[in-house]
Amino acid sequence: MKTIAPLHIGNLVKSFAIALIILSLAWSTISFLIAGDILIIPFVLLLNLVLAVGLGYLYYRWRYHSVLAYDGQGFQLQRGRKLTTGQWSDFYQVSLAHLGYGNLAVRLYQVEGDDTLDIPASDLKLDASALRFELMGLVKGTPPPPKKPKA
Amino acid sequence: MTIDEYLLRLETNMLTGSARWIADFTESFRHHQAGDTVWDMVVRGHMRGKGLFLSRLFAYLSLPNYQVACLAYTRELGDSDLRGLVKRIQEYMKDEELDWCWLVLPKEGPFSSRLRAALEKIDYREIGIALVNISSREIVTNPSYVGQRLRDQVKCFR
Repeated sequence: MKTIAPLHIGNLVKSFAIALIILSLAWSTISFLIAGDILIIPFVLLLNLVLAVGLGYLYYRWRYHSVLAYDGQGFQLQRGRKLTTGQWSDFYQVSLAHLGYGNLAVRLYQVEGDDTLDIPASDLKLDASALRFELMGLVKGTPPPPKKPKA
Repeated sequence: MTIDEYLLRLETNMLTGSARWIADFTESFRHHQAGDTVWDMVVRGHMRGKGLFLSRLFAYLSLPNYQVACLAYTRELGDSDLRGLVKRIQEYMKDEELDWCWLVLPKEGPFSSRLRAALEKIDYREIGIALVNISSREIVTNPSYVGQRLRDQVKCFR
């Protein structure tokens, strides 16, 4: 199986910033409740930074880290803690989707139900267009579901 | 530049480039079959942008939520094929409940004068059509407002 699991620096920085903001707010609240003022202590700031690096990395792994493993038969997609597995024959159509802020994904349309699955190409640092064409080749041959009559 | 390279640039321009000033194009299909026609590219979108708080509120209050599409067709067109293609677009728009639609016809070479004349006569206000000569970078659009707005979006030669 071909596996792609890059470290996404943008999401890592975002996770670090979230952790740092939460830690700083927590420290501000605690110090205000105890001392009646927001205390700025260099050691605490340094400790916050160190903790934010650790917590940010954990949050990144829990929320954003993407791993895609696939071969000619199927795939395994892990997005944070969520793991999705599937066969290419479960899908009949592929599109390139813009998720906002320049993030592109390859969208797969399931034969059963009206569900779609997004493979976050930008987070996987892949050429979204090239991945789309590759996956179009893999799902080729799966017949589309019968059309529902319009109400 | 080949037609495939041009379509890639056009797709990028629609999804993440300057076309987003006109509509929020969110999804692109290649070799998309609709009825008995296979469109080389179909980019779908809508006109109400998302944004964060204020821009979302502004979009909700002031912008119509038109459903739109940009289609590309690269097969050779005869002089009389344009009318048929427009008819198929109208059927596609009806099926997909689209409010307006762009059609891009790229070609590596000049278009016949008859085809250009036929394009001049197509004046449906909800359809914009552009003939794009990739070799000479010449663009001809139909006279409708939607067609004229298409001119700037298909200039993606670099």
